Amino acid sequence: MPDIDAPIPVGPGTRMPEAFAHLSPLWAELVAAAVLGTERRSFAPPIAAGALGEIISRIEAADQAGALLGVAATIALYRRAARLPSPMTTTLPLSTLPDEFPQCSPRAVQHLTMMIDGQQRASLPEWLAALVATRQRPPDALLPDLLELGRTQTSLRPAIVVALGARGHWLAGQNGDWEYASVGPLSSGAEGSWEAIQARWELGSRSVRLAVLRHLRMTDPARARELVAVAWASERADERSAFLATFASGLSMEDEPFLEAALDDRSKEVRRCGVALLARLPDSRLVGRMIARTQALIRWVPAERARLLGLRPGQPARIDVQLPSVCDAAMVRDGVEAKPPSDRRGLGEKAWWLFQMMCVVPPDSWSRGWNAPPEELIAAAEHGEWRTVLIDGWAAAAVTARDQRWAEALLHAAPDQADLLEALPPERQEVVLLDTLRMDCTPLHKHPVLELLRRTRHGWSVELTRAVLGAVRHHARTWRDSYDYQLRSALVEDFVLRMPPELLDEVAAVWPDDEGTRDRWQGTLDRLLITLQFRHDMLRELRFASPGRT
Amino acid sequence: MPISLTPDQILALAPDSASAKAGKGLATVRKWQALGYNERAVWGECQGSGSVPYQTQVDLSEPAFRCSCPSRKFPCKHGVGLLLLLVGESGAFAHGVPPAWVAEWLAKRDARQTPSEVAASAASPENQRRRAAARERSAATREARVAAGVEDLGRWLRDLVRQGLAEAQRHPHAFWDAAAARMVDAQAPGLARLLRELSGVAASGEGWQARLLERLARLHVLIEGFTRLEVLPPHTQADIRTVFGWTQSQEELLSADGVRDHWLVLGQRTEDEEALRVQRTWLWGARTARPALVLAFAAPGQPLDRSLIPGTALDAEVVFFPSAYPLRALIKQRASPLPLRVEAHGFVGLDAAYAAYAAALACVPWLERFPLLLRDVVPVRHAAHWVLRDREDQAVPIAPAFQHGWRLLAISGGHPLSVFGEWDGEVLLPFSAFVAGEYRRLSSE
Repeated sequence: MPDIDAPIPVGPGTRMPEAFAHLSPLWAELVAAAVLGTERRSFAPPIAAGALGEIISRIEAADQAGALLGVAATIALYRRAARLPSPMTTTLPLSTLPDEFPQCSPRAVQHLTMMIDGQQRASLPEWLAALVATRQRPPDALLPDLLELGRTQTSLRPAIVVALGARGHWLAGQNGDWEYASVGPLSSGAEGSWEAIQARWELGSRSVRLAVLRHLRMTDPARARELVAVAWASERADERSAFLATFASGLSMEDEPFLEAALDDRSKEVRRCGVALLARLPDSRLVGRMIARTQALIRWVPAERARLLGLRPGQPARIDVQLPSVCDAAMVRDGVEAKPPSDRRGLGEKAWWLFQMMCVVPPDSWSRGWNAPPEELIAAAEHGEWRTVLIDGWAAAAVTARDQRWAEALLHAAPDQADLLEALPPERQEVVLLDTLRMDCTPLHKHPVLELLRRTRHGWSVELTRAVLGAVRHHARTWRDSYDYQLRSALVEDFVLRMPPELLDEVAAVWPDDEGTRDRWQGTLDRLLITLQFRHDMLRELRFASPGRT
Repeated sequence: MPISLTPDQILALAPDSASAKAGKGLATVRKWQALGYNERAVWGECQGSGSVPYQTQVDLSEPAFRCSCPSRKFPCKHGVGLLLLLVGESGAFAHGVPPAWVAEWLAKRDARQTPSEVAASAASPENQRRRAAARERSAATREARVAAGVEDLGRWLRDLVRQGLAEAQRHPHAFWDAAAARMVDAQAPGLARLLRELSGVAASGEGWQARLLERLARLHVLIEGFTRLEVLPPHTQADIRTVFGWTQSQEELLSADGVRDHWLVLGQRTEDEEALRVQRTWLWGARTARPALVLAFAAPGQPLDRSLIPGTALDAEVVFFPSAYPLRALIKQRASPLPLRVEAHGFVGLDAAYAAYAAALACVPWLERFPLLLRDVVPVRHAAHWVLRDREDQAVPIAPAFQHGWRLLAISGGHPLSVFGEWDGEVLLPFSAFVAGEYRRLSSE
């Protein structure tokens, strides 16, 4: 811990009024004499004018050590009392703009403090979003704690940055550690002018520049692209790929030429990023090339009805697949990797190439090209020898293309492809989840619906919550051992954050109360209810308390 | 709402952060039953791990706490939780007649004598005479011991200066601690503390020579003063005795007349000294425009006094310990709490603040900590340190030990605000800030 006595230099050191300036050399001499000691050099009290001189003259000079101490005490006291504050000539930093929203209520501040300290931390993103939605701002005194939290927990940064308000962004700009939050929405006043933005771009560090790009991509993607294009040649590889990644926001065909050019970049990471972005543009040249390649290799053979009164049996529909013979330079340029990674080695090299290409082809180009509904194509693929390549490839492509029809159809056939849930809007997600829940196959803690439920990001409807709770209660009644740890931790860490807090009382009621179940489930239930109660209290406080006091 | 404290102020009553956290966790209706309140008190029963719920109650006039749980902390987490719940969910409390276990405790508290009443009853002539005699005897012994210790110390100081500070710096910790221990034996614990601090000063890095000399010189003045005590003015005698560590009888003090005023509670900080926790609470008299320092002590683990809440004001009569520049005081009588209004008080400009400090030094040359309420200052970061800058563009450095610089900056937003802290002649240690008249705590304890 720093010593309180260590001097703090402010301006040119201790400032004395003119009248006492002569004390400084006197004091310096005294200190030198004390360091040496009166044995080595004898000491005589100095002569001084005025009241000071009078006091010194009354000190007994024969007692040299005592005299030195007495004179030192007097002069030190004079200096201490004469000291003046130091002038500060540096420009005062700009103060913050007036705050738009009032601070939240004291009880809401309590909730926030708990979460910052680590209790119920998982609810913090929800709290911050509700704060923004209710047009309030975080308490000034806790802004440093929030910014520090975002510094170490990068996953919390998006939620924190959005809720900070003008004062929070201002504060972040004063401390290098909090740069990630120093750029707020660029629309307000002088901060938002093009000159100001360019200034931040030119002078800012990497995190500031990324923040500028992210904000600009939301309002004026073309300008953002301009800035990147101009800086492109002089930036290092990891800067280029970080800048390119911002194109994910506000992505459109206008970005296509730049991205296509990025496929020739020296850096693999940049090329990979370019491919991932172009895959989301169905009209891009990359996607066109992939469609051409794969259509040449894959053929749809529709079902044949039985003919000649059953003498010629019908044939189910099938998909014929030819593997690509080489992985040529053009394919490599388009992002195809020659060597499969360890978890895909079972496919074989050529099938791996085909799979990668499938991932980039929008699935509806198959159903349109072959004039058959996705369900039919999927059913045919299920029975063939190329199931993995086709189903996994379509699944990845459906996520990239955000194709709801294909995503639902695939989930129906292969509920373990949990990524597909992302492609669906919340209402459709719930339909799929309810359907999957009704699949009465395995016990709940091994059910595919668990992984799907974990992927949800929205607040669940009452219907879904009741269905899930029903399934959990049934499981609690019927499953006798404690190896359902995965289910119970999913319940208290994930699902509890999605359930509507208004259902608190319902959630608390109707649990099987035989002793065995209670022993195994009491801990889980307590945690569940405490978290749900906390969410309920914190949201209610934000929505209904009068904001702005203290 | 029967209570005017904010959740922050309630949490500040908790003895440590673990209790505050636990108290927050208990501030939920789910955990309580039989919640009730009237104008004087609030009560409830909390289900703990035992079979019988704990009975918790708070007398709101102070506030004072009582709970049937086995915790030794004061107030316990149930008390804190009950008050938080009262602020957050007052609807859950039934207004009415308190149950027997609450009414009994309140009655006992009323029957208790107030400190000035104790002083009055103790003032019977017989008691007074007996006590005076006892005091004289112990005083005589003490005087003798201290005088002997001071003589020793005088020789020790002169030896140091004869051999030179360069030699002195080479001594290990034990050298200074031994001198301190001798002062403890001589019944001058205040001198012992000053001596203990010297080892840190000798090791404080650049400029240690000047700092050490100033401190040794100060010690010299104190012991020279003691040897001539009778010729000094009475208030200076009192000041010297205080520095030496003589304690003044609180009874005697409380029987004197005090200063009645509206006292703003500007800030509070708890520090750990040798085997003791010391709580410093600074008051400012709104009409008399003077500061007062109330000290409270507790052994580690024991509860500290929680009756003075920073950010509030009270109508009270305060008695000062005798001094040439009176600062330390006791609350003799307190009346009602008042709303706090800080805007009109404090030094405008550092020149005025430094001048006030100089005036105090003239009265008590060994003054260590001086209260400063500064108006219209802006916190500024200056080369890895914090300073406060006034409207004349002058700056006062903030103590490096202060850990809440960014919080202060966030609260100010770069705009001027009022800051209260202790000034030691070199750095300011902030206790609290006032924004638009509202109190913000800056110390961690």
